[in-house]
Amino acid sequence: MEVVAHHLQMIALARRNVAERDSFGRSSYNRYYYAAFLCVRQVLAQLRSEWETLPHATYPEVLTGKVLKVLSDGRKQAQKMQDRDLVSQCSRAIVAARELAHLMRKSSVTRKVADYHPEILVNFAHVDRFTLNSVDITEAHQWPARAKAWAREIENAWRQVNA
Amino acid sequence: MLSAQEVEQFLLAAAIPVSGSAIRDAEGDGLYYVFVEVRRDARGRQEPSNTTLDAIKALLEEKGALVDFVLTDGAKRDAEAGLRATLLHSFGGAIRNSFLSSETREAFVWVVPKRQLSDTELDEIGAKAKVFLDDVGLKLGNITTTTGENLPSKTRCMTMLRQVAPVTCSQLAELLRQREFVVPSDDWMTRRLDALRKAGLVVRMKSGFYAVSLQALKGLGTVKGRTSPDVSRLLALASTRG
Repeated sequence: MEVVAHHLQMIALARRNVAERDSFGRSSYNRYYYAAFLCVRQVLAQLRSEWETLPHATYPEVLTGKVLKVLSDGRKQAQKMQDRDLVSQCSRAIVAARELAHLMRKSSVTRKVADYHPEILVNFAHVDRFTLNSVDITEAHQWPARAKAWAREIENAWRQVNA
Repeated sequence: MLSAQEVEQFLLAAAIPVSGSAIRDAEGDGLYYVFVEVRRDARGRQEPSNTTLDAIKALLEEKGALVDFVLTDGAKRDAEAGLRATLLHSFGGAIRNSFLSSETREAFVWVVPKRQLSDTELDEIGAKAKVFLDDVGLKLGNITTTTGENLPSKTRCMTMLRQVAPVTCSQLAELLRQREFVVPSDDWMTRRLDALRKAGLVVRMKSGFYAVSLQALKGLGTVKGRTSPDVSRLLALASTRG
C-alpha cells in the first residue's frame, strides 16, 4: 500500500491538469494513512485479539490508555528488579506509544480532509512536493515507516512485561 | 450549529495559531478537527498551553461545537529533519532513515539501518546525534535501531523461569523462543542464568535444573486476578505433571 501511495504521489507531481493532480495528490494521503493504520492494527491484534476489530478512532485511546498502563507497570517492576536494559526498553516503548497515538490522530484527520473535503485543495506551491491542509506529503510519506518502527518497539516491550 | 469557518474565526480571534483549515467531521455531529501549530517558549513550555486550549474548547462547547485539537510542532519537525540530514550525510551507507521524539528535553532517536550495525557503529551514530541535539537544546536520552533483536530481558527470563521451574537451560531457551524472543544460543542462556545466579536471583540445583530464588520471587511480586503469575504457574504445573 505504501508503494501505491508513493506512486500516486509521483503521478500527482507529474500531472499538469489541475483537477487530476489534486485527485492523485489527495489519494496518496489516503493510502499512506491506511498503510500506517493496517500496520498498527496488525501489531495491536497480536497483543490482544479484541483489538483487531476496534473502530479507527479508538486506536489512539488504546495506545495512550491500556497499552501505556501495561508498559508503565512493566517499567516499575523492571526498576524494582534493577533491570536497567528493560527499564530503558520500556521507556522507549512508552514514548513510542505516545508518538504513535499522535501519528494516528494526525494521519486520520488528514485522511478525512483528503476524502471528505474536496473544497480544501492540495497545494502545489513547491516543485517536488505538495501539502494538504498544511500537512506536507513528505511527512505523510513517513507515516508507515514510523508506525512500523514504533509499533515494533511497543510489541517487543509488551512481550517482555506482559508475562 | 457553527460552520467550520466560524470555529476557525473564533480560534484565530482568540490568538490560537490554527494551521490549515478547521474541518467538520463527516460523521460525528458537531465535531470539528483543528490543527494547531504549537511553539516552545524559552523555558521549553508549550505555547499555547494545554490549559489555554482546554479553556477555548470549553467556550466552543457552550456554542455547540466539540473541537478536537491536533497539535503540530514545527520546531520538533525541523529538529527531526536536521538530525536526519546530519546522520544520513555521515552514515548514509549504513542507515536509511531516522526518527526523533522530543516531547520533553530528553530526545529519543530511532535509526532505520540498511544492514546490521555493530555496537561501535551505533555508538558513533549516537555521538553524532548528541552533538546535533545539543545544538538545538535537546539531550540524547536513548538511541536504538528499529531492527534490534528482542532478547529476553533478565526480568523476562525470571518470570518465565518462575512459571516453569525446574527446567534446564536449553528448555528455558526453547520456551522463550516459542514466545518469539531471540535467544542467540544455549551458551548465551547459560551466561544470562549464571549472572542471575551470582546476583542471588536464580538457583542452580545439583541436577542441573534451574529455579528462581526466594529473593527473586519476592522482588517479582504477584498480582490478583486472571493474569496472576501464581495462576500461570499452577496451570503450567497441571499441564506438565498431570
